Amino acid sequence: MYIIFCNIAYLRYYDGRVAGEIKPKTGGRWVQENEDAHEKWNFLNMDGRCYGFVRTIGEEFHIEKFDKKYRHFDETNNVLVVWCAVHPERGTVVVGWYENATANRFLKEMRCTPASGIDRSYWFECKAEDAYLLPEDKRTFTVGRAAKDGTGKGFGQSNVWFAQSEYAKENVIPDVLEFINSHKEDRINTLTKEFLDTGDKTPLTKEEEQYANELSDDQNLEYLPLGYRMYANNPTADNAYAIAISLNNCYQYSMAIPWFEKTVELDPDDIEARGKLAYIYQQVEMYDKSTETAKDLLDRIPDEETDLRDELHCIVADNYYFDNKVEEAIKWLELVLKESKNKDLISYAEDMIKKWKKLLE
Amino acid sequence: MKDTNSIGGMIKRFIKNRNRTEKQIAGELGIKNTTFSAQLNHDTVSAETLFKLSVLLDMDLNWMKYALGYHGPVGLLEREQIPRMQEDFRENEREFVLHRIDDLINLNPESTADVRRELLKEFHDNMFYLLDVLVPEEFEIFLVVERGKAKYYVDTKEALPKRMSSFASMRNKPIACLKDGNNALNIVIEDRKDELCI
Repeated sequence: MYIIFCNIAYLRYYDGRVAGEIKPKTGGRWVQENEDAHEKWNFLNMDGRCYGFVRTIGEEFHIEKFDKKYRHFDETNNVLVVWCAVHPERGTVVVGWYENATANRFLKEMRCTPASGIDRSYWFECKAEDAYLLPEDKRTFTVGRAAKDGTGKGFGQSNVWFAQSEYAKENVIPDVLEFINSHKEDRINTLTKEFLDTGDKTPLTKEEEQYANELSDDQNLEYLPLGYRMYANNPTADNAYAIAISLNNCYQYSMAIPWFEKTVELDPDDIEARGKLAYIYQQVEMYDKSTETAKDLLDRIPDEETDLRDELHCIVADNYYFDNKVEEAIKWLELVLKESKNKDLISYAEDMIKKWKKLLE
Repeated sequence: MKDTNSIGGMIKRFIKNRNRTEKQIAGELGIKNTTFSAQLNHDTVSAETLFKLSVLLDMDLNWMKYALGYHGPVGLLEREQIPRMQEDFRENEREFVLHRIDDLINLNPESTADVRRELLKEFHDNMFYLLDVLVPEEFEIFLVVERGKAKYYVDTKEALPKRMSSFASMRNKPIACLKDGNNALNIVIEDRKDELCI
């Protein structure tokens, strides 16, 4: 096992939420500055995984520092990432950790589509079940700072610390491992099992039905177990859609897909669900399915709906581009030039075609 | 606040905001006060009366249409930008709504979500009205209909994420990049908590 300490901004939840989160220092809550835009999602369970970012690693994360054998590798596994942040009173504390994480040499970009709207990059990733975020009152393990405590005893100027000094190996690492082992039960991040259908098909009581109807749009975790039971007893498109949207809102795209598919199977006229599917497939990089869905939609909507047709043409063009099929991508952009009435889009498509054609040279 | 969910109720709010009384307005309309009052309470205001009221009280009927949930079908991947209420009306309404928020915060200091849910219950789930009153004037509010349910989103005019799929910026900003109604109300409540030092 390799270990790395990473210093990030201090937050409560690290899942991108606003409610209950600490007031940002800059930008306010309406428009947040992007400097910490990535690390604020470090404990967001996205499709069953967590992705971790830390600022100012530089262009490359030198994973060969774990072991020289990795000098020609682009990633390494079996990494314990210890996330630290500066608490206003306690100093630098452990806020959480990833076990069995993959560390990437180069910063990875997550696909950012209108399904998620989240633009993020990451150095580390792990299964959601291997991520542990501590509640504030358990963030009590302090990590040193070299400037104050001495060289090799904590973070230097960098936000990452490999803890490879003799002092760290003999003192810090054993202590932090003990702390980690004794605090695993305290975690507050959401695990994937909480989104799953337990198979309970008991019909809802009247009180439960009323409760489910009164839940607000953001109470997705509360809704899901009831939603599954409602569908089991009444398999309608509305009930399937309600589950699909709840899973989608919880960033569980792979789980949401079959429920959106059920919705359109039960209600073939539901164009909205098909539209969402096109983007969700794109989000999880199922480009063929996304294209198939978009093409199907193009057959269903009238020619006069030029805005919608533009959107769908662009989805398909993007899919081919993401899938490295640039020639096909260009053909779909040429449809935009031919059919669109949106001058800005036409001009943008012309520029994009020129850029993409250069890739073919 | 049943006011914000019915035509009669909304008219009453306008009357109050314009510092008029129902009796005065009834007089100017040439209707008996009791008749006018009954029309407002039972939501039986005629179209002609509504048009006259729009002039007397400077009511934006287009805005009211949306505030009361009357909107046409909104299609796939499309959304409808809805008009914001007049500034002077907002100022008075905002003061009124903020008082309610303050009371709810004092009752539920630990949970922003609970404050929001209680606020929506009080205003009969009129999300658009609450957003219009509370969200900064420079932001835009959009309506999207999903499987028959109206949902509202706020565009704070933030730039799109840099790596958003190529063409999204050339069309409507994706829904995922807008703040949904619940999220927007959470922000308002959190900011209010900061002001109240809670």
